[in-house]
Amino acid sequence: MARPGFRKYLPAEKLFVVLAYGFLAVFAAACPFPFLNVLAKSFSPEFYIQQGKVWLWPVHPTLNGYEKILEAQGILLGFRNSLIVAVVGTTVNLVMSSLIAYPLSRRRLPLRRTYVTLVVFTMLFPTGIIPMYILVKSLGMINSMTSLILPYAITTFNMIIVKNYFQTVPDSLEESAFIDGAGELTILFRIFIPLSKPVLAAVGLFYLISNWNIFMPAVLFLTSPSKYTIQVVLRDILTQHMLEDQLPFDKGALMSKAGPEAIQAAVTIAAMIPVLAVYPFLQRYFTRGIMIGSVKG
Amino acid sequence: MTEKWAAFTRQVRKNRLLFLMATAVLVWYAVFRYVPYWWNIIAFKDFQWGLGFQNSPWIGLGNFRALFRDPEFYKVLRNTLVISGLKLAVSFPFPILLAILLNEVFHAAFRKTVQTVIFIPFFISWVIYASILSAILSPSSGMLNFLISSLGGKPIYFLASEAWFRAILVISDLLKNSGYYTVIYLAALAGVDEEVYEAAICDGANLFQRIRHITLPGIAPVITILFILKLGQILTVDFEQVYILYNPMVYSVGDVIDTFNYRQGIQGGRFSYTTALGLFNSTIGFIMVLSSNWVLQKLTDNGLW
Amino acid sequence: MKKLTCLSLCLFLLSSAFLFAGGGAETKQKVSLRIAGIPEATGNVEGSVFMASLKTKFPDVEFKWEPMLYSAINEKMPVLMASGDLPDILQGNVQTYLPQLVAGNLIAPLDEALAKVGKDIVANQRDGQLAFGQYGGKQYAIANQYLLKYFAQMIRMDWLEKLGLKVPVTMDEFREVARAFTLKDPDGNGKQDTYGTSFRQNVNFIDSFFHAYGVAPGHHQAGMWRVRGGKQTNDWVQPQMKEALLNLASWYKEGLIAPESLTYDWNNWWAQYLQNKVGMWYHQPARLPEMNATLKKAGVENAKMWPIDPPKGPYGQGTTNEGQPWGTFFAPKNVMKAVEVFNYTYTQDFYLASKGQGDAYYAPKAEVGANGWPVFYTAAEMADATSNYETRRKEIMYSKVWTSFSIENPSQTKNWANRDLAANVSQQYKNTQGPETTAGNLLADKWAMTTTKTVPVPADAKYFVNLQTKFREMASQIVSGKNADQVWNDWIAFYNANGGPEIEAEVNKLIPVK
Repeated sequence: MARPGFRKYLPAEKLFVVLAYGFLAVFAAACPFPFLNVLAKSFSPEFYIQQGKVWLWPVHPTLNGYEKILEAQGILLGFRNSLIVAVVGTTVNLVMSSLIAYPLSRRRLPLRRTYVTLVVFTMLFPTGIIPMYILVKSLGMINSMTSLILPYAITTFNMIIVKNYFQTVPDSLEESAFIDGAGELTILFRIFIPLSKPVLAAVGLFYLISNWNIFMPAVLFLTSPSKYTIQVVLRDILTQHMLEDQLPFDKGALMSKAGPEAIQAAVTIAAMIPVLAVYPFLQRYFTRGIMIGSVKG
Repeated sequence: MTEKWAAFTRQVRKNRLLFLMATAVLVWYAVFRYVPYWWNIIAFKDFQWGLGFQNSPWIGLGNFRALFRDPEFYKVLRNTLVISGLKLAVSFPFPILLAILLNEVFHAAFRKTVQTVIFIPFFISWVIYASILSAILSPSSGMLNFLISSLGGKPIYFLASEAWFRAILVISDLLKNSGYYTVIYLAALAGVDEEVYEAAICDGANLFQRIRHITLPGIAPVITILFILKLGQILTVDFEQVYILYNPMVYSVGDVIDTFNYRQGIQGGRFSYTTALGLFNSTIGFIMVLSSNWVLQKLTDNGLW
Repeated sequence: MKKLTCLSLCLFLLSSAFLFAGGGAETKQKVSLRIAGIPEATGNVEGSVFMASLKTKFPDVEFKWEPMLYSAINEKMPVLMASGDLPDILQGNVQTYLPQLVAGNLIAPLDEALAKVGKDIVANQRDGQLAFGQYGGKQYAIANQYLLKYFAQMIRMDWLEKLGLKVPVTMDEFREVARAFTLKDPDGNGKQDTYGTSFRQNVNFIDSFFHAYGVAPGHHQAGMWRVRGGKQTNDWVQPQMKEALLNLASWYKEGLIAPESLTYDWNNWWAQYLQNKVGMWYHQPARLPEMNATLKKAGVENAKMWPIDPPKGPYGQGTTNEGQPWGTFFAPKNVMKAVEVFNYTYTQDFYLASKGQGDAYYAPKAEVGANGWPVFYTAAEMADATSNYETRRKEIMYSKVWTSFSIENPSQTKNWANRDLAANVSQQYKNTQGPETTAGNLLADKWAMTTTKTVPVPADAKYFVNLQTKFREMASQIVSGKNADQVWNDWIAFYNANGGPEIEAEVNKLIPVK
């Protein structure tokens, strides 16, 4: 970004920048604390967690928590199912969102204002889970992965982000494409989409996160345990009451092995890993990505 | 009339593929968004299990009237408005501040790191975040009270305190979600032309002037839209956050419409009542969006549409 | 000739029709039974011995296991009910859903099925257990084998010994002991970080301190009703409830109760115990061996939490029975078959076929005994660090389909033909009870009080949750020191304006005093 060098700043400006760095550093330091705490617990034996000794760093670290994950019933299956929903779901999300964002962004669309109103209306009046269940059931989608993908194919908020970005693409590009004989779909896929990589990356990430975290529909629409997604498995472990039922019984084990708290922490971290892995990769798009409205000149 | 129709058909024919695309997706909206709206009829009936959906009697606005007559409703409505209002006043501007500050940072590495780090809490669910919060805020073993006692004060039982509970909701919301919105604002800022800044510097504008005249207007459209949407959610306080953190000690300030509604639904499904309340929420939200959009559009020429 | 041919042709056709009908019946499609249970986390139910035994006995049934996760049951039930989509065998919370399920014709009355194919279920019930599923004169649910029936007052005997104190009897004596526990450093670590007792989110898991005043919040604050003056009355609005709360308030003010426990969830509450910070406890005697073993493993060598009589107060003494909130419902479509299947799991055959792995709580060993009879871990083995008891128990717990069997139940073997086997089961039970659990069970038997409101009433759907929320709020406020008179009066006013009298009227009408 264009700005004069720091040396050339007035004293007031210098102070401002220094304070800015300080403020941001403090805030940034406060943010990851919960995450570090969970990370620390995931590597600590049960005894130290129970005694309240684990804060930011594991105490007497052990990999046992993660080992137990790999042994546990249903967790690997949960990961697999979540992966399917995440990959297929996000693809469907992006395709469907683009397919509607593009027409809505073109002023030449007949009934444009009506369509936009109809779409935005659904954002303000949410759909209840009970009628959704009845609908999914009558469409025969109960206990299938489709039930987690199709009814949630478009999140209007995200779609609007894409639409507004499409609106900033200059008309001239579209016009010259028409003159060259291109059809609507060609324009969408050969011109708009490549130009929109930043916003699609951002919106893609938002969709990915919500697909990965989907919980209530999964609990209600999936009836076989083999179809459970990771969040369902994780939440159930997290809300189990009887902590003491799972304590490693032998003293040596207590001091060196992972217990329920550590396992919960490990599962939490493991559940976050895919999203955390994808995030930095996509993050570089953000700074040039989302434009809901923009100023030019 | 027929002229308008002729113009319309001409437009459709000219853009038929576009129209088809839009209409096809609108079919999806019709099936998965509009069809489920039928359930809301139950808000105007007195649903009884013995009679089922079809035969339960119509009572028009009866459920709403019962709602407005219930003192508990006003209590949770008040709590909801206060908490939403506080969040709007505190957690809403905060990411804007962060974005502006981040925009003035010189070191790209610093900026990227901060951006990543503040986004992380967004990933953690409230279930986990809340348990960590309670550990930190614990009067006997929490870090915060440890700090307070070492500075000479008395430990405060934050989560049980009516005075502090709302503040905790607002601050924890801020810590958890600021990163997400900051990213949106930063992205909007990235769309501002370099040349504008260069020109301003040539004209002798200082840092503060640049922020006021370029940066802020640069994100004004985004701020407007997000503000309108937030106003539309004024009766929706993050259910999960409150449900996990609240307890009987702070019901009087922490019980909100969503938690109240949730409890009504638990006991075997009082569908008429809960749907009526839900409709009330959405309608108010809708009105808020329309009116704020109208006002802001007049004032700033930015809006949802 | 023609007539004969005609006749024989007709006969032939008729008989083949019969054959086909009969044969058709034999090759009819399998009955599909959807079973919804509440598994402990995500265990392997489909591959369990329990399920295998069912499949072997009923080859004509196709079993579909549809778990209802405990963490989402409040969302799942309304959805299933609204869509009329109930499984054939459904375990659920009777107290929450019974009136609605009956009104909506979503579950079947079981009287006929029980008479025809459910004899073992009926024989197996403990006294009064069936009442918890009877509604409007019919049987609609079978209450679970609730082994966790008993709760007892407990105290750290090692702390009493260390401080030279006697076991407290009266409420006042309990207070004296609590003072000592809080102030005199019974764990000897030089810090004042111990407490008399602890709550589990406001006045939860401390019913003994209420029964001393002749009232109780009820287990999980689900309500407690008693007969007073010939009528069903609600403990929650008796003046003695206020006194009981004021008593707790004075304890709290003195610091004898862990202050934060007013907002604790299950984990923090349990952590207090594990961190050796609490001297009095209220829990299930069955858990005592593990409780003490756990503390010992954590380094508290002399840990000895032991059951004692609950405190004797001005108006009474007692503990609260867990009651029977959970039970099994049956959808109308396949009720006969479903009850038949369910009934099987109460029989001697099933006990042997499943190798005892259907027990509600106790885990049998992997290898059966010499005669093929299941062998359960003894109390000593359960407490022994080197046995694989915990792993085994986890494995069993996570693979049950429903609980129909409990070696704790004295009526369990009433119908069994093999009386030697029956005697063996009783012996197995005795073996699982260590001295502390046996003592605790005796005390619970002596003091356990059950609510006289055995099933929910229709008015509960509309009012109960709000009353429960208000009760909890009121209780926390009084205990934490707010103006008791005002809070109590507000509570009574709220109760009267929000369905209290309606519920009372319905209870007296539908669940009259016998």
